[in-house]
Amino acid sequence: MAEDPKTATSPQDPGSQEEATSSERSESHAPSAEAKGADDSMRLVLLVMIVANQGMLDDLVTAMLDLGIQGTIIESKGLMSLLRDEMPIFSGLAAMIPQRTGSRVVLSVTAAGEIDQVFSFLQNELTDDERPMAFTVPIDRFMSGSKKS
Amino acid sequence: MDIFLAILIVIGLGLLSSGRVTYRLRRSRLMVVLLSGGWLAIFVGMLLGPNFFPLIGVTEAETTLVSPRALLESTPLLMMGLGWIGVMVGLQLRWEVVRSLSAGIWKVLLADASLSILLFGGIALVGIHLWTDADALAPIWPGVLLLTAGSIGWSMETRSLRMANATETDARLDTLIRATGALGGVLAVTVLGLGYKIVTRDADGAFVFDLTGAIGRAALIGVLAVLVALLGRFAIGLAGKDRGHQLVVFLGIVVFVAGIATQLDLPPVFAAMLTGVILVNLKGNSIEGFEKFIVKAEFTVATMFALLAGILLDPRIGLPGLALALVMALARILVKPAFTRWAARRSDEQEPRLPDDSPLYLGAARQHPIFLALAVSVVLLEPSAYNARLLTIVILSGLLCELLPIFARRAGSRALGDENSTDPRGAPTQGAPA
Repeated sequence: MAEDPKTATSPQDPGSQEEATSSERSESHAPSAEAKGADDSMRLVLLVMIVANQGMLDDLVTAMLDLGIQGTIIESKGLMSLLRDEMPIFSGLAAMIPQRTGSRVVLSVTAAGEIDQVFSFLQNELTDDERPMAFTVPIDRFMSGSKKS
Repeated sequence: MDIFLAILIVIGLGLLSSGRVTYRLRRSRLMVVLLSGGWLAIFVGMLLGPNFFPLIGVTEAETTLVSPRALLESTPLLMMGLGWIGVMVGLQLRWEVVRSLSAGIWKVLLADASLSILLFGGIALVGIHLWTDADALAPIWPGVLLLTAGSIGWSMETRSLRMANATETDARLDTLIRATGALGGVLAVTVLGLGYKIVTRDADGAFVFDLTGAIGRAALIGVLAVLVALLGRFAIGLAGKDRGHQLVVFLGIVVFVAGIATQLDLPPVFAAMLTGVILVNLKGNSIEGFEKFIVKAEFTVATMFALLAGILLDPRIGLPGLALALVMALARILVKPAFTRWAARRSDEQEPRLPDDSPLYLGAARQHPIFLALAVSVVLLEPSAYNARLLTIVILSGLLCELLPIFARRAGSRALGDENSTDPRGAPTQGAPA
């Protein structure tokens, strides 16, 4: 029987819904660096990367594997690319092959502590043209049918 | 000063056309048609040029903002634009893309090319003969060839014809229409490029057929395309991923190949297309970024050429010219969709079968935008009143072919009560500003 999402607990602290959603706490009680590090290793974030440069996808996937980060890759298409492909004028053939024209969205739910390594890779190993758009979003609640590896 | 003003206006309006407002306008079905065919830009071009106001009784001297003569003085720049279009057309023919196309698409293409050459070649031959009173084939050959070659294929834009409740077979048909249209454009450029110089002028200025010379020129263009592509590939490697460097390399490729083709009196679109095909299929560094960078300018370049067509056209085609445009448009509208439906259903052997009555078949009635670029290239190669009037015929028949299927479809949809498919505004996202 599927678990009711309303009863799903936050991964930060399985017993305490209040702690899981409270960000004010960290503001009112400034944690020590050690405590913050421990907190970061527990806190989950959603890492989103939009990879328009197909050539870089291989390197990015390899880096994620090296860092031990799992993820999901979705084929996608930018708004302007969609508009162009919808209204081809002189060259419309390539637009019909999604692998050639689209971008990829990489989604990964991971501990906040691991994100710095990803951003460090993006910053130091890739050029401006190669670098994907990347950002993280804090996760308030999380549930999954399978155990997180 | 006139030249700079003319170039500034054309480029400025071209850039304006790729703004956010224009993208929003494209969400409407009718505007998609008007913009993808370049009809709106052609009308603006007419307003800028010397031909519109005299038609409504206002004298030329007071109203011409951009004179065709000023534009024609900047022909090398315009040839570069045609080269840009040619390279864009060629770059889509990557081998892995071509290989992935189904046999049905190739069969429909072959059927359409045969029909176009026979039917529209015949109409063009008879029509131009009656229009010009020519007593031989040689003088009217370039015009006949232009109208025949341009009739191959159709517009790739299918958004305006899609149904709200499209099925899997509709999607397959959509792919077939778009792919065949794209390949038809390539074939049109090839036919005009190879056939254009079969007729030349002899020492006395008379038109004569020169098949040997045409073969020699075509071979020369082939060699040139290979050399420029090899050099281009090397230069692209040097340019790396820097956009500025890529632009310089691209302009170099286009100017070189289009310039030499023009010197040989050949349409630069063909030579540039050949270069694009070879460039994209050479092994080496990836040129994906380069391709995307070039294709991004597609709408701007298309708008500039539509403006140019509006400025350069000469509306004084007389009744025979008008009749020729009408016959070409009617033949396209009446024959091409029905023939394409027959060819597509016969060629495609997949189950479930392609639909029998999809509005997507009407797409076959619409001219490929490359037809307009080819007509402009003929005017630029030989700027005569006859060629400017041929351009008018191409525009007129194209406009009729573009609008009639849309209105026919809207009327048909209303009769069927399909409100979704007739919504002329497109479908804005819920909550999005209209």
